[in-house]
Amino acid sequence: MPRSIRGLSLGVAMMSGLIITLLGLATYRFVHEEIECQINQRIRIEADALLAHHKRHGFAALVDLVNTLDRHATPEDLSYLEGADSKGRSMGYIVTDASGRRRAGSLAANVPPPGWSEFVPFHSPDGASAMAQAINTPLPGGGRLVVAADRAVVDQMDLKLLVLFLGAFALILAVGTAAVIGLGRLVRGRLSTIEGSAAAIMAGDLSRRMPLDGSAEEFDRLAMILNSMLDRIQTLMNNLKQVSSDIAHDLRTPLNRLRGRLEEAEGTATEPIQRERLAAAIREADDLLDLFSSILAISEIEGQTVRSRFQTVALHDIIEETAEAFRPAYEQAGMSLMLAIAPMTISGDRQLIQRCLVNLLDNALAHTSAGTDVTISTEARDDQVALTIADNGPGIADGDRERIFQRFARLDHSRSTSGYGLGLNMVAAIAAAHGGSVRVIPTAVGLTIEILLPTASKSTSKALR
Amino acid sequence: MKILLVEDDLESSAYVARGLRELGHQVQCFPDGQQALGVIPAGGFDVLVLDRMLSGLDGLSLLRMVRAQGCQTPAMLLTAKSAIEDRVDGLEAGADDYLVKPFAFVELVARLNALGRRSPSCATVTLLEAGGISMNLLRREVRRDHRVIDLQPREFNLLEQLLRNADRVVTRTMLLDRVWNFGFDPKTNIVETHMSRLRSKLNEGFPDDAIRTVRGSGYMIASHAP
Repeated sequence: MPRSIRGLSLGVAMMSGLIITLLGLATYRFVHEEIECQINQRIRIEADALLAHHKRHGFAALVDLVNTLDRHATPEDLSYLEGADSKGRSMGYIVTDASGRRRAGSLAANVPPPGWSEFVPFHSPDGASAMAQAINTPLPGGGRLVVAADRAVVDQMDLKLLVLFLGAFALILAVGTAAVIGLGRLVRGRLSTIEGSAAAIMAGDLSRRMPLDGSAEEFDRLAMILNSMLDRIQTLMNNLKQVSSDIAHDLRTPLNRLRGRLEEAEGTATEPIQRERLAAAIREADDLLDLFSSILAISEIEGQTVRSRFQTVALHDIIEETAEAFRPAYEQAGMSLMLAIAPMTISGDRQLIQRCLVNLLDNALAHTSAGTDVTISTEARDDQVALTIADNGPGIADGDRERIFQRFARLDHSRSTSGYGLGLNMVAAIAAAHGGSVRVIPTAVGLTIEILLPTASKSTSKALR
Repeated sequence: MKILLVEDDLESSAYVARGLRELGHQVQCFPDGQQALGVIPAGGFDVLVLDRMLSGLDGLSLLRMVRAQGCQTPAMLLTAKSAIEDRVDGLEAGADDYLVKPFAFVELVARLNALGRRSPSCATVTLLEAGGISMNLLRREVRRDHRVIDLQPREFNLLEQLLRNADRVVTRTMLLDRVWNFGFDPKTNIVETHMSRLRSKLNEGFPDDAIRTVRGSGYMIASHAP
């Protein structure tokens, strides 16, 4: 079964065409046979009447009768059956005697073989050649009688039927195709508005709803059900957001107090070992607080609100600034940081793009060792900017390429380093918030991460929509 | 300094106030915005510290009302939310600084000191001097004991922050915010690595370190070299 509307339309059109063709063939066959039978019937009746005349009055009387019949047939009576009037004549005859000599009958044809013949070629009185159906019966006492009728009516009937059915075929095909295309348009139109709304909702606009036309028909019912589902999801999302930000807030306050107390204790500690342990405890508390703020930041980025702050920003500026901030740290670690960038602008949030770069540079610094080269490059691709950060460090396993962007994803060999695996998740969230995407490019050496961001003009028009 | 603290979490409020008093400041605490609004105009405060989320009148609205009355006392907003938008809202409402909870106590003190001594003429200063280091902001020239020192732009900005806040601790977070415009803390020690470059340039040929590292809080330049 075709699943697409186009396939379905084609299928229905083909099916109705096939049915019309079959119907046409069946009708043709039936009508054709029926007309042939009727012609045969008339020939039979005529032949029987002539045979009866011969039986009663003899051969000479039959010859006279046939001559009389021929004389009364007008030259216009070409198609025998059609032109048959109430006298029931308009047939062609041949009468031969026992020696096979033609004695009467004007049928301009050779004597057909005995019995029924379906196709007997003859010349009509005006000289045109045609086909006739004929019977050749023996006469008692020698000789033969041939009675023939023109088949032109069968061909005419066939032609009429053919024209009729071709017309009907074309009409049904046209009407059916138009109906299916119209229905398809209607369905596709409704589906594409639903699709558009769904895409906007997935992009973060949870307040968007499916459009209704007020008809309360199938599509409206579907849209209403989807809308009530969306209402429910939005309510749940809001609850969840409220709960998680409440939790984060509620946990941060006591953690903050704990941190304060530790700080206080550190300030009054007299023993160096005590001070060291308290400082370590403060660092742990800071890590936890950092985790909370990262979670809150990611939730904020994933929400719709960040888009309202988007403006045109110079991507190369942000990259240069951020790289410059990291350069001393890279050099200290024995690594090099190179840029291969061109001036280009995107529509976005400066601070988020900066944070995205910082997370990537933090990551490259933390997971590679001295001697590694890290390169940031940009490239314009149609209406997108590809921002790539590549290193020639140890890289990651093929199976981890998707996983590293997930929340709390930490690869086995990085367990020893600090962090909660939120850095690249935030990178992915930032890319998504800008209408872009992030992925790992498979390379032979090291790790290459590519971020695609829409260029300024496109995402502005998107935001306006 | 006379400091007004509006904070609805009484435990935090008490802890902060105690710490500030120990440093010799006068502190008045209020648990809600409405009460604070009444005392601010005639209070003669040097600095206002306002929690953003308060029951009743919140810190942001309070600050807007205070500013609408024409009061220009420097104000610092405290918030548990690190949302970037919150930051912008706070600064637009008239806050002079913005501190995200959790914060280290030293961070708060460093920022309050910077706020309290901020004088209107600060903006037009063209020459900064402390601890034998002079900085000409117009010519972007730095000298230590008359020897010219060549600095990269960020190193210059770092030193400028330290000189503007001479004798006061400048924290890492303040530097990240003011020199690099980072509203968050990268895992990489950006401040430390730049500071070590600045130090090596400043100290080359001098026996003593021009910049003091204050353990656990930040950096400082003393106005009179020890």
